[in-house]
Amino acid sequence: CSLGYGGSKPDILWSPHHVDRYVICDSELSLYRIESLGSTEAKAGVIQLSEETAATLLAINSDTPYMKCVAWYPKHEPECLLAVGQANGRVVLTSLGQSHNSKCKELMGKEFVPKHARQCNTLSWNPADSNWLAAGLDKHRADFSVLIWDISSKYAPEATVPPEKIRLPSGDADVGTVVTKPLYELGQNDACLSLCWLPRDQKLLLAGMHRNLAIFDLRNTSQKMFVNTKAIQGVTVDPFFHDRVASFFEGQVAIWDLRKFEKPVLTLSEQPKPLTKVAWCPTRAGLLATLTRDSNVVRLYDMQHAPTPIGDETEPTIIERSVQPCESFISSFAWHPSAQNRMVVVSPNRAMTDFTVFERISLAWSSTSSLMWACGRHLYDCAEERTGSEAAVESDIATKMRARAQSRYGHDTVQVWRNYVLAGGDDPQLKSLWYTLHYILPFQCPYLTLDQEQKQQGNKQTVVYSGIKNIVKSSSGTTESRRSWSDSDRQGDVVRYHSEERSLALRLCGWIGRGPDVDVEPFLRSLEQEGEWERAAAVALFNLDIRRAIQILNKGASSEKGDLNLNVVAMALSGHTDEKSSLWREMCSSLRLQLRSPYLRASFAFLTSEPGAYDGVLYESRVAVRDRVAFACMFLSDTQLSRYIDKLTNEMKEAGNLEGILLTGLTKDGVDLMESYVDRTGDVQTASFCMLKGSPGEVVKDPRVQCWIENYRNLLDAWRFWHKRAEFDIHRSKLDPSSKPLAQARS
Amino acid sequence: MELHILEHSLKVASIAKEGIQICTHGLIKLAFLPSKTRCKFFSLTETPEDYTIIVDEEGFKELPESEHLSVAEATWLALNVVSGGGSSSSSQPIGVTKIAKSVIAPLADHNISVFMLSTYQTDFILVRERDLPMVMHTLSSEFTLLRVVNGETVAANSLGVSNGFVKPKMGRPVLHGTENSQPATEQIQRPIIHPLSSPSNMFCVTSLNPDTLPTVATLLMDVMFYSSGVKEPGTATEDSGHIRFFSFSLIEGYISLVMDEQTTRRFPNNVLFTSASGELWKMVRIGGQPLGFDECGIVAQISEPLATADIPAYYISTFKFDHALVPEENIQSVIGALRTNESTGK
Repeated sequence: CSLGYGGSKPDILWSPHHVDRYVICDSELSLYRIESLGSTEAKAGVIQLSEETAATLLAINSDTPYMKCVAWYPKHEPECLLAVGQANGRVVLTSLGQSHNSKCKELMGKEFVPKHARQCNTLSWNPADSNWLAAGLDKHRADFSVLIWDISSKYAPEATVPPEKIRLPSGDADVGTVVTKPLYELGQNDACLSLCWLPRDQKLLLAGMHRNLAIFDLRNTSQKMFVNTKAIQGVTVDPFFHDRVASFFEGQVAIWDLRKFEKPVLTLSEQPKPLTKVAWCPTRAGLLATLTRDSNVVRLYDMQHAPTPIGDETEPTIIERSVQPCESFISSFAWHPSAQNRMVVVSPNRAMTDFTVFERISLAWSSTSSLMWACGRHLYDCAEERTGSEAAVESDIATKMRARAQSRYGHDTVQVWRNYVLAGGDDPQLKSLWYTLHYILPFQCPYLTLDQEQKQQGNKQTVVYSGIKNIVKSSSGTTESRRSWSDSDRQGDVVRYHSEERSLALRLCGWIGRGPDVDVEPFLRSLEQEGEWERAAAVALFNLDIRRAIQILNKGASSEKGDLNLNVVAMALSGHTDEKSSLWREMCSSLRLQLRSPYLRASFAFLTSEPGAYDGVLYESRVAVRDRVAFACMFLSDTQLSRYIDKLTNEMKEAGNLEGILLTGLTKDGVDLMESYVDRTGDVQTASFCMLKGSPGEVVKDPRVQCWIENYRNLLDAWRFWHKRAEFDIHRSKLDPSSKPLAQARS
Repeated sequence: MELHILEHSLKVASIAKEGIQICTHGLIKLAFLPSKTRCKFFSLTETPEDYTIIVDEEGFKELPESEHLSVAEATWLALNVVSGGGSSSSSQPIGVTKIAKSVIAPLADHNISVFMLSTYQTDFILVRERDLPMVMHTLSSEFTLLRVVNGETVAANSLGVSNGFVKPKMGRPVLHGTENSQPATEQIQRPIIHPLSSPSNMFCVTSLNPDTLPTVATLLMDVMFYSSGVKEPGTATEDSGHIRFFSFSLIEGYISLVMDEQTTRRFPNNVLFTSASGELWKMVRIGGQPLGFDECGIVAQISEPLATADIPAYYISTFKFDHALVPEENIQSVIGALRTNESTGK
């Protein structure tokens, strides 16, 4: 308001109670009514403000020249009573479009005159006692700059100066309407640029003085609280947080907390041009709108997320954004007193725009996988719908992790493979991971290396740690043997390779058991038990036992829910011949690709392959990695094997495929692989439990691993699974003694 | 009470009447086109003898070098007294009277020369920059000392003189034996050393809205620079005579004007700010010979008796003489009171 209405810069004021009225003030006062467009379409003289709303000019008042500031009477009645501060410091009461009721008539034209003339910069009605009107004036050496007028007071000449000294201009003949004695006078020999009553108490007034902000307490006017600052313009109290005040200086807004009134609690980013208006949104907490000179945007600062009270240490978060209500420059704006986030802006040429600031939509996941979003005063909750078993949509990883945490996933340290079951038993990657861990862990746990055989393996501890990739690299003394089909008399032309490391790898793949026994039969039986007929048949076949393979397929076909097609496959197998150019070979190699089972495809690929060229098996991606690796360990030469394993490892790492842990082991390679897995799935739970098994190796100290562990702990906390968190911490400290349990928090 | 030490570094200069035309370009810029200069403090006072200019260093650059322009050698700082509390008593003595006892007398007692500039808005006490440590030391017991730095007030440190010094109280400071270093106590009045005169015309101290300045700029230029036709040589020193006196200042955006009643009538209605009571002021002019800048206590000699009598006053120092403005109805008692003191010093 301190701009002054020299005619070029219109300001806008919204009626505090009649929500469809506002006043534009420049050289005169114009009262408008705003309504929805539909109801006014036909009428002439209607100014469209937006797609939905239009304004009608109701009245013009040009009785008060030299206007510097205007303030709307805060009470419901009389309606449209305005106080106008003038360039000579006088305050005049006036009204617009008034039905002439008596109370208003009495007040109309009443003038409040300071002892010494100077510009009136600001006006503020007391919200509690609406008879009190505070006026802020420029400096005079011997006069006061803050005058509080009682609009109900009568002219009392004897109170101030002898009547013979009164030389009022002749225009003031009607002396009954002139008041020269203020209720309170404050701020001697100072200037007042802005004013605002504090809601805390009727008698507290905040004033932007020449070089300080001062709080005057009318109960004791000899004292004031003040803070020296340049930001003394446009003081305004946050309507939602009565201790928070905004003021500005040139391009910078300062936010103050009156309880800590020594320095601004924050200053907003400085604008290149001087600010002209700063206003808190009356319908939305913590939203401050600012306008600078020659600008077509209103800048908004959202402080609702700033912690209140704002401390010294915490850096409050403020979301800053700009809105552009219209194309032209904005001269002024006013928030609608009740419609949410709505404002009317006025341009220098008096064009008006009705505008609603759209709320940012904020979005948050709850820790239990429901989604919330907020827009304005609306809050939407979106929970996962449980539509029975038919719902094919996979659960979110957070839901899965939460369920797994409840089922003690990761905590079975004896039957390590069982963790796959605890995880729900439906994820092939987790299955592979936990079986791998199950197979490799005995080799790295010192307390299991009691018997002789394992002690020997115990020496290979570091080798096992680092996965099959490193085991086969260290392989030496490989022997080859020519093998033939178990029921064939012919000289075998299949070359099989042997070494200590290759046996170990086979063991880690789960194909053969511990000890000198290299029989694959127990593994086949376990596969049969699980109904993995095709896989069992393939493993039997890779062990050159075609009869066993046929037997397995027959068994599968006759089993409950068995697939009769398996008999057909068995029939096809039984026709196997080594003859290179046989019809059987030709048909098998072309038709095998139509088989649905990857194991059957691999089986026929093996049977029809040239010696040493097994790509049809090795790159059959749906065959489990462990089976392909085991196959490779049996049938690839050292060079071929090493190249194949490297290639496969990189493939696994890139894909974040947990089957690859078999190759990488719990090494840095393994962490890389796990990283891709976590990037892909977000499953920090599996990552944490898996990598903890790598202790006391270096992997646990990898910052990525520590990050997963901390995130998993935070998740448990977020779910309020305090006991699970404690259990995890215990589990962790057992495996990784270097992780110091946190000190018990005491408060 | 707060004493603000403002950040303007001021020069005090005198332009001879016959040399004014070479300076008008700069002066018009300083007075009417503030956006064209970086000047924040500008004051021009015309007396029968000369034009006195008080201007900050930025504004000083606008003035040409000339034989007609004499500049006092020192750099001056402006002090400003602000009443800290918001007392609601409206019958306080105002202006120089208010600060006579708290600022002007102690500075006189410590032999610190002051240069006064009263405006519509406030009273500036100008002291030499080099005297500042002594000023702060002298006034630190009565005032909260604040310094304005980049427009923001900050607590002023007592500039190194506080250590070892006893805070000045009543009594005679140890200083050179100049004529003004008599102990000033409440009982002993300062003698008036310089001759006084009181011109016949009455003055208004007023202001106007900076927005309306362009509308009266030509009128103001006429008043400032083309007054020679009105001037009658020799009237200045005559008690009953008419004096040519006009002061314009534009300080931190505020305009202040001092002019005689006849001149105010040339302005359109509603441009000049007038007080509700329309008060008029009469002048007491101090000095027969040019006063110079070194003599101390002149302001104190005048302002203390006025303070004792509770008479409000404005005080404007110029390059050669000092001028006090007192309410017209008080002029006789003021002259009386000052005349009583006039001879005691001699």
